[in-house]
Amino acid sequence: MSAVVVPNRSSGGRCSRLLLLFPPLLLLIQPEAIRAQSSATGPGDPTTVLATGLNRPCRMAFDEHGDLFVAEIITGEIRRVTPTGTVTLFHSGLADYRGIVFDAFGDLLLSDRTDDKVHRISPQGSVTVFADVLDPYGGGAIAPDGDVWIPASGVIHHFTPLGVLVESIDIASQGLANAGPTFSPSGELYLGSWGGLWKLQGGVVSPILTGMTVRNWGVTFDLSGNFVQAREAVEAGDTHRIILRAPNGSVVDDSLVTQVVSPCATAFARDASGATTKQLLIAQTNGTLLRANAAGIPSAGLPVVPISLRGISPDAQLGALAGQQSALTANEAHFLDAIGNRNASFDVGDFRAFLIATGTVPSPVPGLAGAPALAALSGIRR
Amino acid sequence: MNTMTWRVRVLAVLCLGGLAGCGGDGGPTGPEPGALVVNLTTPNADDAAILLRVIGSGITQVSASQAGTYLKVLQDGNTLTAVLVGDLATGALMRFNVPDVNALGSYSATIVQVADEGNGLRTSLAGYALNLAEAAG
Repeated sequence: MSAVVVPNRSSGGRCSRLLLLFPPLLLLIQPEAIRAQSSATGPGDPTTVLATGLNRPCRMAFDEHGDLFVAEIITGEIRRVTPTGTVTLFHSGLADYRGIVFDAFGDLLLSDRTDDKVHRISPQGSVTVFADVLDPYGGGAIAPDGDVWIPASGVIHHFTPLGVLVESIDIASQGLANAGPTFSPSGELYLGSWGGLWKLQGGVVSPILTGMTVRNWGVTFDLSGNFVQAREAVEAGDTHRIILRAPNGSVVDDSLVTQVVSPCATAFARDASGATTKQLLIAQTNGTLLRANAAGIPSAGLPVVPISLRGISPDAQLGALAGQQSALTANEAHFLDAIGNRNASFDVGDFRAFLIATGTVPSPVPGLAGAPALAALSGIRR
Repeated sequence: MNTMTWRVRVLAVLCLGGLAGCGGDGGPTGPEPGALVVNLTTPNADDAAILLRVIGSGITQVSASQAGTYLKVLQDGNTLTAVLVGDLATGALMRFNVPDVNALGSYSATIVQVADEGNGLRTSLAGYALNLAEAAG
């Protein structure tokens, strides 16, 4: 059976011949397994197994050191998977995870439907509340300016990096119940759903793909602007595979990776320096994490954490304060202002916030450091 | 010219020469390397960060006057931009070396921005002042 449900291109024909010779085998094979057959090999084949025994590991996020974090929806546990496949428990105690994403501080944001909150977990494992969100439904996305977009039932919420609500966009009235956000290289927000893929611009959703399962954890962009779709075959005659598409949804490679079964999500691995690579990780609903053949993947992944607190140099900030116009990018200035005093310009108060967040100067809030300390300061100021 | 007037004039010239020769170490006065200090006057008790600019030549070895205060500087020609973060209060803020403390009047210091303990930017700098003085010792 395992040879059937984890097929390679050549095994499909062999399996068909087995079924002809032994018709009773048909009764033992699930329809899903039949749909898993494939007759061609993609450039991302062969796949190799990174880890097994996970519980629906469809919510994945890489940290800045190259470790993969997987939220298990049933067990309520988050596991850390090293590049060599070693699995350890990172965190437990929360219940109904709906998505995870690392933010610009290096903290893990975790949407939990049980208590209607998005939690912030520091690399050391301490948990604070990022925001109260009614019925958070999927993983969040980090915008190029560091803002955080969190999906909930029928709504996409837009927060500052510290969890201050900026806006809530009603997507239910536009025909989308739940959708997972992903930013493209050009900064456009894509929304994946069970029914397809959509783009959100100016509060209005427009279709990219319709009539197919993309799932609420969305698609994965590469640096060239194309995106990878985990195509789970839910209809007879379809095959499980990974598809490479252009930003407008047109197919670039219909069979980028074929040696998969019920793929539910993809993610590009990060290396030890935090840079994204061509190593494409594929999560399967059967609990297995696969690695595609990196030699066949055309482009490295787009960083899903496009801005990093520690990546913004203090020298550049002082340069900006001294009047050097190009010392900071607009996104960096926006991010620093958002974690500082939110007065729409970068100033010495924002620089102080940066110093507190990085631990360069002591936190003025006892017992808190980093983003939680800034959030507390922000709350005091409000 | 009578004899008396001539003698007075000679005496005056000698006295002036003597005065000049008696000043200092016995030679002409030159540059006097040393340190200047920037003093802050603030009307608030919760200042936590300041951005300031000092203009003057030959500034080196900038340091915060109070231990525990974060200091970062950017020097561009004769313009020094500095950020100090900490518990800021009226008094000495920072010091720096100059090639001639006697040229104190050629240096100036200006406050650009001040932030409070909540990182909020002061909308008014009324009541704030910086003044420069030769550092003691």
